[in-house]
Amino acid sequence: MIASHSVLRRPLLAAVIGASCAVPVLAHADINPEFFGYARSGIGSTSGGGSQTCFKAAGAPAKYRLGNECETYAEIGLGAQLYQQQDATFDFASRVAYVTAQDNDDESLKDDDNNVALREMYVSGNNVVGGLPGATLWAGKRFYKRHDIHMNDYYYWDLSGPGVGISDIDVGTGKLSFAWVRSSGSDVDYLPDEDQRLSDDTIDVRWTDIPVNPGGSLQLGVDYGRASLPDWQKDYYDDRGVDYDEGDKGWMGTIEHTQSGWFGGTNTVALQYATDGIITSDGNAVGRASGSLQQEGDMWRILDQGHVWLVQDKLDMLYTAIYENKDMDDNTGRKWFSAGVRPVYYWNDIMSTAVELGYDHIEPQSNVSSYNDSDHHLTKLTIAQQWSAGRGAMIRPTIRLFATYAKWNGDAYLDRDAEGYRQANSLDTGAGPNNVDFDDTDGLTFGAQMEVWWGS
Amino acid sequence: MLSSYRFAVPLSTLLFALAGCSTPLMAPQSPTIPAHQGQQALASTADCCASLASLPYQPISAQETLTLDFTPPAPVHDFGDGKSFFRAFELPHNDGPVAISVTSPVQDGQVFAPTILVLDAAFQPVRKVSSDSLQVHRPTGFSTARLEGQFSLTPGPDAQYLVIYSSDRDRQAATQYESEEKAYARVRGLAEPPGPDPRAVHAPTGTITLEITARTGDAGQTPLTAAAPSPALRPAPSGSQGAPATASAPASAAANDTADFDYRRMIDAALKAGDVELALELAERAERSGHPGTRAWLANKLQARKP
Repeated sequence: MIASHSVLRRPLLAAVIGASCAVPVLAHADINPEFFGYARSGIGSTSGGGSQTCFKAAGAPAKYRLGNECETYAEIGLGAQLYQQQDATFDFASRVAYVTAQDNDDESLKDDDNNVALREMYVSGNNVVGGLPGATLWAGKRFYKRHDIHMNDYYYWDLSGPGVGISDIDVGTGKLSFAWVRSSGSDVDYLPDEDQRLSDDTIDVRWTDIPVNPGGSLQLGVDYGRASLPDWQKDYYDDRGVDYDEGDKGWMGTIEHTQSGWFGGTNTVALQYATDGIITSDGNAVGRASGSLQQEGDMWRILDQGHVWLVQDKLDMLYTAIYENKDMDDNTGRKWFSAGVRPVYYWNDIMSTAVELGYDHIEPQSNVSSYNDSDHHLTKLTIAQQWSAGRGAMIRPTIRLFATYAKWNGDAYLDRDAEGYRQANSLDTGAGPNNVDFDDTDGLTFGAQMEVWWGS
Repeated sequence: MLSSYRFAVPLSTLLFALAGCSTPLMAPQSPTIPAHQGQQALASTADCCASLASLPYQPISAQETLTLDFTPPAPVHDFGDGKSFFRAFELPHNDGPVAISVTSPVQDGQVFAPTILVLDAAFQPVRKVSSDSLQVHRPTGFSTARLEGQFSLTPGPDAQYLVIYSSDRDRQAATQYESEEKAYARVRGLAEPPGPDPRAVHAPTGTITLEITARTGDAGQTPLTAAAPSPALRPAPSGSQGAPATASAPASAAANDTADFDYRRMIDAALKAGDVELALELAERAERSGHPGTRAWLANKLQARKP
């Protein structure tokens, strides 16, 4: 497929020749670092005492985020264009992500909830493959064409990780992209040592930018994933009579339509179907092999999201609706319905008032035991006063003051387990501090947060 | 008791915040003239001047930021490579090198794509920066997408005048830029939103910001041969047309004669272009620069124009 030696060789040769005599020039003159990233951080309290509780329905893969984020999260990216000759370019990019619990000044990686993760480290070459003008060859670990819903921080198609691929090949009608991406799973039930990871491979093929109607564009994608077992792992499972044939592989298909010029914004509708090993057992189901050995079932999902201007330059709105049915053979799946709106009124270029109303409904299958095993739902309402560098839903930086009220059915948490930790019931316990009471059915928080993204 | 406390703090915070409603920080932008209307306005405006030498040159100092409207009643001239609304400036004398920055914002899907022309003292073009060499910037927060260019020059006999206009070639092109949504997707590693990049047509009218800054910011950079004191040590330059006070008497007289002539010629050009405001401003400047009588001379001319 990558039949490109003639063109590929030329810039490489030039680079080799260049490197022998022009190193000082490259080092001092030609590298213009690009600094990019994203960050959010703040402070909050739960009314009644304690730090900010973040409200997420137990079993839901996402929560509505405005005034409902309890952590400091940052991505710091550095990159540079390293080579350019006519149309051919080579670019380097890296990204480190930081998460801290927002408890303290000095937050160490030794503490729970804190993490530093190397998320990206890759090189991409644009116009370096002969016969494929405009295409990009890349290798390394990266965020790969992620599809998300901003309002609830929900990633529904996310093939990120170490990989290699060639993307955006112009095929006349739209563009084709191919990628091979690695993730890993650990099967702590069977493998003797959890470090003995299962290697999962996912192959991703996408046909994007297919024009179907004025301002409308379609994309189709198929992901096939499987756990790649070496002989010693197969022998290990064979000895124990574990059937690893079905659960260790699966595929996901995605059809997505994006409409621009939609009330001054865009609308995106996506339909997805996934089977067996590619279904993430909890959290976001993204189309990446999950590392589960015996996971069998299927999942389908439909979602719609968008951004519209209701009154130009005065009032805009983010909105989303999601329905997902995860039907697992062992009855550990669930149905999830979610809907939310975030209208924002702009008083002037800087100050705005945002309201976010979000609703999540979970209907667990019969064998769910890790949270409230009957239907439960959560509604959250946030009002925030914001100061931003301009008007628009995605304009940052923003500093906001917020108050968030949430209401749910059923007790918030179950009694502490043997280790003394609260257990999820109607509320997820992992979304931040758990400072509402065990049997509370509503809660109120308030605080301040900044959010920023930047890049050259 | 508890419940009142629960609501009191966040609500009072928000009320406090709401009370802070302030007026917009940015002045309202002048309304955009649609490209076809601008084209009509351009076609129906007569050429102000017979040659480059007779353009209404407005003196500028080495430290100014000007917002320039390229809309009626701005003067119009056919520059050979296109008829265009234009603004013409006389660069400061004896102020050393200056940095010139031109910013043309995209408004309502159109932009004025400028050519910047530098003329010598004999009004011969010596340098031309056309719009295709300007940088395209994507929108960021308050700033809309824009064309931007910076260059430096040393005013003197070889570079005395600056003209900004838009050539036919400038207007045939269009400016494509990265939308804020695409930039966000790139920065966050998200799938690129489908659809073409936004495109601004190059319109015959528009508004440009011109910023001129003295490059000799400190004494260490002042050329050793400079007869005049460094601009940094002087009071804010008034764009003075006259010779520096330190020049010798005969030179001063000669310069004054020339300057006197230049002012009256420029005022004539301004009047011809119908820009009475500029003519008045030029007369004021002439008076301040030691050319008494210019104001009276202009008053006579205006009187004579009336029926």
